Amino acid sequence: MPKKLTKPRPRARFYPYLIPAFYKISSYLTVLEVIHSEKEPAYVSPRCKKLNLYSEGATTLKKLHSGVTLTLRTRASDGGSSPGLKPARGAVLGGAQRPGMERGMGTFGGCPGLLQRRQDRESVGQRSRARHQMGLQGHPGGVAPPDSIWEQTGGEFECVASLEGHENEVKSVAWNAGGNLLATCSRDKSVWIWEAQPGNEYECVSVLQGHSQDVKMVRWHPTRDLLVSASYDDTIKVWAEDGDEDDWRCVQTLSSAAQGHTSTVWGVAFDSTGDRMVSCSDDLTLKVWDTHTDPTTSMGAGAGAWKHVSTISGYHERTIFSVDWSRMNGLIASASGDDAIRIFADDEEPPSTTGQPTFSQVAKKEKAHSTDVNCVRWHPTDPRLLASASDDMCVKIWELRGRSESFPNGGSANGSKDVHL
Amino acid sequence: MAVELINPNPVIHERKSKAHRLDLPSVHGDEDAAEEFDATEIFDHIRDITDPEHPYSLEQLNVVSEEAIMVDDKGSKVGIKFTPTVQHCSMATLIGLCIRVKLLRSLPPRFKVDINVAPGSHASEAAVNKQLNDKERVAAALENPHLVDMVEKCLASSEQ
Repeated sequence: MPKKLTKPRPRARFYPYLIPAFYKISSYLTVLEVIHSEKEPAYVSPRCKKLNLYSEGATTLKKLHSGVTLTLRTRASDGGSSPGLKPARGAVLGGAQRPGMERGMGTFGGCPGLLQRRQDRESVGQRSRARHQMGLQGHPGGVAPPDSIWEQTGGEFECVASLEGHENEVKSVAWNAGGNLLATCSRDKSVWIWEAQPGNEYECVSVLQGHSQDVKMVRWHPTRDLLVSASYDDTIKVWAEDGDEDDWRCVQTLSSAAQGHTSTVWGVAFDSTGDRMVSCSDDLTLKVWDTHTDPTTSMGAGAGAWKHVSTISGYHERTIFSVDWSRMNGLIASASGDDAIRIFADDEEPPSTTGQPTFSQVAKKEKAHSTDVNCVRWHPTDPRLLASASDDMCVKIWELRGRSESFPNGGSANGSKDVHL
Repeated sequence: MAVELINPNPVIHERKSKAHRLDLPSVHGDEDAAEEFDATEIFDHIRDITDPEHPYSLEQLNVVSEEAIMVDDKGSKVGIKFTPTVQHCSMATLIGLCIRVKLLRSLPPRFKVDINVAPGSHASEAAVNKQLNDKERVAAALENPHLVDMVEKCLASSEQ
C-alpha cells in the first residue's frame, strides 16, 4: 500500500493519500457516520434514546491532516474500554483547525446505558473482537504514516445538554443553516425538531409522526428551513413550518408512487443551491429530485414541489447507505454495503428525448473499505477531499485526483466511465 | 405446555449424516491451502440450531437444507433461504435472526450474508426479509436482552 501511495497507477485518480490510524481510537467502534462540520458550537451523539450535546471545551486533537475536519458518529461505544478516552463523560475525537477555517470536532456517545448494552454486544461479538484485532494488526489499506495518527492531547468534550424524548435509538441529527434548530430522528418513527435557547437549553418545538417505520436520516436544506427525512417505510418526507402557526407539517411525501424508492431510503443530500436533492436506498438506486421543475407550486418555506428527474441504477450491488453532493464541484459520492465508493457527475448533454438530466459514473473505488461503507461526506471547502466511514472501524480520507479539475462544475468526464483503480 | 403452539404437529425429518465431511483428510497433502467455503460447511453451522418452538433442530424440521444455501466464496457472498414450518409462523424472524447470529459468529467478516424466507413460504415474506437484512434492525434486536436470551437458547445446541 505505501508503494501505491507514492506511485499511483497512471489512470488512478481516486486513491487514499491519508489513512488515519483511526483504530487507535475507534477500535471498539463501528463508525456509522462522518460529517464535515462548519460552524456548530455543539456536537451530538445520537446513539441511544438520550441525545447528548457536547461543546468543545479544551479538547484538541492534533496532527489530523491539515484542514480536514470531521464530526463522527458511531454505532457502538464500548464504555471504558477505549484507552485514553473517557466514554462515560462523552469520549472524544476528531478535528483539527486550519487558521481561519471552520472547526470540526467529533463526539462519541457516552450515554449511560451503553455500559449495560455492551454485555449484549459481547455475546454476539466474538467475531467482532477478531475483527478488532485484525484492525489493530494491519489495516487492509496499509499502515498509516506515523504523522497522521490521531492523538488526544488533553482536555475533553463536555456534555452541555441532553435531549430526552425519543423512545428508541436516535439515528441521525442535523443542524439547520441558521444553527438555531436541531432535527433528530429515531427508530421510534418520529422526527423531532428542537430549538436552541440561550444557555444551552433546547426546547422541542415539534414531534413529527408522519413516517410509518424507522426514520433513518434527517437533513436540512442548505439555506431554507426545510427538512427532509428518509425512512425504512421507503419514503422521503419534506417538512416545513406552517405559516405563522409555529407548527411543522409534512408538505410532501416522495414515495414509489412518485417514482421514488422501492425499499428503505438510507440517506439524502442537497446540492449547493438546494434546488436539487439526491437520495440513496436499499433498492440499489440513487434518485435525483428537483424543485425547479414546477415553480408555480409552493410547498412551504418558499420552495417548490420536488419532482423525480433521474434514477442512477446498475452500479452498487448492495444497499446504498450514504450519499453526499459536493457543494464545490457538483459531484455525487455514494457509499454502499458492497464496500465500494462511487462518484457520479451530471452529464452536460442529457439525451434530448427526455430533456431530463442524466448522471454518469466518473470514478469508483472497489474495496474502499474491507466491509460495508456506512457514510461518505465531501469536504465543505476543499473539492478534492472525501471522507468515508465503515463497519471496518476505520474512517478514510480520500483525494480525488486527476480529472477532478476537469469537471469543476459537475460536467461529464468524457469517455472515462468505470475507471478501475 | 400452557402456551398454544403455532404449529402443534411439525413433521420431523431424519438428520443426515455428517460423515462425508468429517473424514476428509488433506487429499493433496497441502494443509495450508485455504479451503473454500461451500454450502455443506454453511449448512453444518446452522443445521443444529434448535427451533424456537419445538425441541427439534432446523434440519429436522426441514426449515433449512443444504440445497437452499448459495455460497460464492470468491465473491464473499452467502445466500440462505429458509422455510418456516407454517405460512403464518410468527417465529420466522426469530429463526432468521438465529441463523444470522450463528453465521456472524462462524464466518469471516468478509462474507455478506443474505437471509430470506423461501419464496411463497410465508404470509408476510417481504416484511420478514426486509427486517432480517437491515443491519440496524438486527443490531437493535440484539440489544433486546429478551431476544438475545431466546437466540442464545436456540443456538446452544449448535455450538457444542
